[in-house]
Amino acid sequence: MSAKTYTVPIGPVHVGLKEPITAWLDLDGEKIVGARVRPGAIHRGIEMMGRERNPIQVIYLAERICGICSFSHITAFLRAVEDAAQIQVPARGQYIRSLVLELERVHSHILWAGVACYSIGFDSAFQLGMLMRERVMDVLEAYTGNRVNYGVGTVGGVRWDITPEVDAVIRDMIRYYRSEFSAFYDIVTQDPIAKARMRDVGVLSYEDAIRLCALGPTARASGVRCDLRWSAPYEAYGDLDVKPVVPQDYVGEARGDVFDRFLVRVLEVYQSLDLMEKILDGLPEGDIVFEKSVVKVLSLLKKAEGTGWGIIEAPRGDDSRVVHLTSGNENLTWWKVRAPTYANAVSWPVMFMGNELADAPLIINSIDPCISCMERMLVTNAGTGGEQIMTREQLLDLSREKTRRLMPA
Amino acid sequence: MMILTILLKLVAGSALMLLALLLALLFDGVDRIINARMQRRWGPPLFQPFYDILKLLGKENIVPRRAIAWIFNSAPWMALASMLVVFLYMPVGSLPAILGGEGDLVLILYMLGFCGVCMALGGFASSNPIANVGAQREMILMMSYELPLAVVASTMAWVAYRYGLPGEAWNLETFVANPVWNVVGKAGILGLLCLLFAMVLVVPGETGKGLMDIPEAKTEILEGLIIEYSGVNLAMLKLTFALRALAISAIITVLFFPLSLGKLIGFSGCFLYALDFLWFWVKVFVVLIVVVTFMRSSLGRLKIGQASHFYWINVAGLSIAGMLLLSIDRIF
Amino acid sequence: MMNRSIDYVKEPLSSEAVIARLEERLPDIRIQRRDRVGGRDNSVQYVDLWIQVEKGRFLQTIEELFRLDFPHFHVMSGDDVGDDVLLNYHFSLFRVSEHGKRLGVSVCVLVPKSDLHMPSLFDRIPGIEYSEREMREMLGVEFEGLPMKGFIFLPENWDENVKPWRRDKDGLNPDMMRDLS
Repeated sequence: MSAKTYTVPIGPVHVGLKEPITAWLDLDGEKIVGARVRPGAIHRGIEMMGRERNPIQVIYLAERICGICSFSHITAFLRAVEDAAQIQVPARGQYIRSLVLELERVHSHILWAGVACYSIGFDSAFQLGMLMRERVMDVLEAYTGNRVNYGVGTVGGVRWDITPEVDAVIRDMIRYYRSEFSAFYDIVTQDPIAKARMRDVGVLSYEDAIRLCALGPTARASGVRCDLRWSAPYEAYGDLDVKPVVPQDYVGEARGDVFDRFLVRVLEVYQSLDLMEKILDGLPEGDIVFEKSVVKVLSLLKKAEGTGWGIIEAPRGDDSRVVHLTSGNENLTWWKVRAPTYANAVSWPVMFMGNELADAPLIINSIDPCISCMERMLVTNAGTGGEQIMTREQLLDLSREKTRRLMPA
Repeated sequence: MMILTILLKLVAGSALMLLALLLALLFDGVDRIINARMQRRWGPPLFQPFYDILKLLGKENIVPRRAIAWIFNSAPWMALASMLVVFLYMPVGSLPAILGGEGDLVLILYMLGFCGVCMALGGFASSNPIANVGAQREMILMMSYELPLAVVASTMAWVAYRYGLPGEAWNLETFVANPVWNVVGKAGILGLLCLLFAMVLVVPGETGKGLMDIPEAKTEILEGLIIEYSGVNLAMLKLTFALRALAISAIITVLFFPLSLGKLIGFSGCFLYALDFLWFWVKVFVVLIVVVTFMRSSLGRLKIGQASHFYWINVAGLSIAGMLLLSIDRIF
Repeated sequence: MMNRSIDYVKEPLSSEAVIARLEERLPDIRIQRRDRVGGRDNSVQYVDLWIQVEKGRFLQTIEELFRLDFPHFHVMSGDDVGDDVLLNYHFSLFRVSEHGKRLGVSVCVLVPKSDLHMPSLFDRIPGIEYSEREMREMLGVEFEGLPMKGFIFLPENWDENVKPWRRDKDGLNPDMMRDLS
């Protein structure tokens, strides 16, 4: 009996996915026998835009690559610029950067845990995740004034200091999560349905994780003991003694399935809480930025020549930025944005194989994809047959015209 | 005289079906609010399902180009009709079923199955691959939960027959008039609990919510078999979903919780009927909250393979255990 | 897929040892070492190596890296630098071995515009797929041995002859740029 397969698209717009990406799945019944992934729906040409902006302006561009790991993106970018221009960040600035990175990790992982539960139809846990992440967003707002794009990083340090009030708010948050986050720990360890849905689903073997260059929690769940905070300590992590969280240390074996990815992320939240406490306890005195005057920084950057590489452990895996500065050119000559999803997405087809259609959104979500991060030209479809690229002016005219139509004469 | 009876039955039947529709939507609203509160949300207004239905009734029906239009359009109506008819065979409180003499538990179960088949047909007819997946899942799910359901129903009928309850074994009125809990022994009580529990576990499958939200799983197959439906057709399907939850809760109430409040406090005549009528819907409401709302709020969704395994092995096992316990109770 | 044992090395070499070994085996490459400092006392936390290599020596360099450890591929960056296209391959060595022992290795190759071809590393490191496809559509470098030729980030109706990151006549012309601002 020959199997008759048919193709079902997951995406580009799909309830279970937070962002646009398409996975074409060849199905035999419910079983996935082939998969093709096509990104590109949200490529915004951020790398092109960076060529017309100076490093300080690019900070705010880089921050808008993604909404969850905005600070990771700028930290990687700033480290690349600092590497190219040989700038040294003061110790307090480094500690504060690490602190915000950990806050962001907590935010990202809690959001992910909620969305993973949503993917398996466990809406109550999803709502709980949404509720819980409010707290860390409030803390970020208390410190920076913003919930998503904090605008707190700058070349050579950070822009705001941690005041005693902020310190107290963060410690309060740490206590809150230590008691409340256990709900997700219970889901991983106890909920039979979560286990039935996630165990042995979307398996990425240890060898495949290495070959396909998987990163972050995805690689760690496959048993790869990698964590840049440990293997290449940046900012304050050299003083903090971070150990990579791998499932074999906790449950004896790493199977590399969605369940292990959930477990790794849940455990990393607790690790981040400990790290934040350590950072707050050991926060050194001193300046938070190497040079307060932006004009001086810009003139220094204008003289700088060279290529810099910044790489950090973002919540989803390692985040790389490569920046080239040319002496006499105040703008970036070029830069390369490499978000974790860019690397982890290569693993999707392997993870899909042999799983069911019902697992597909969960598998896509299991690497915590950030499609906006991975892609960086806005093309709109006129919707009437032929495709047409609209300029910003045309769009503006169109929207003005519509406003006029709606307004009574 | 004959004509008058028919006319009366027509009036009563229409009134009951209309009431069932309104109550189903009302309970749906309550279900949404309780679900929201359990998730620490505020939730929609109580009458939101009514607003939804009214809005959908005013919307255009869109039929996909490649769909088989007549099946696609008639499926929601057939599904709704089959669900409404169920209430004509259901004794409400101390009132006998309107068409009590014409059909029994078997017919009700058949109608529940027919409703699922209609929806699956609508999904297949829409020509959408995702709806196709959803319809396949609906069929598989039905085949899975029908076994425990059939075991529960036939055991109940067997109990009615062997314990010599007055009335026809398959007729629901028999169970209302003589609560089964009073006639069986200790092992029998345990058996009945097994049957009740098996029946409760069938509910998520029957209503397609929570644990068994598989044919309409929105994060997997984008509402599955109803993906192509819009406007009036979608309104019919929404009503069908609400009625299914109400009907299955009503069946559980009739079979397992037939306690009459009116008889308990010694009412008779009109008062008895009126009080028991209200009391019946209160019981149905409580059953619905427990078996539908609580279950869907606290559990995630299984995969179709796991769901059939669950029904064929676990739930069927439970119902057969109930059957054996009741047999033992009767024989010894 | 080539038959290699897939695992990471657990005992790392020091950066000095790696530089010495690479310079010994590949006499005509230029290696720049960068110490990355951090922490309270501004000590060296890890080391990055920047290796400049001729296109003809590229595969040999990669082979040498494979002898040290399975090179974890991060990303490929690149630019149009006049007569050549610059490609930087960014790798990590000793990624899972010890605290602070990871070695960042960037291999920089100039590909002349007269012959925009590079050997693909896809058979050795499948994870390189997206980067090679991106460089192909953005800069027009053909990778020999890469099976996937479709667009990855650019839309389906994009003109295949326009390479957005090129700074010459093959790049974006000014009226296309307006859409991006």
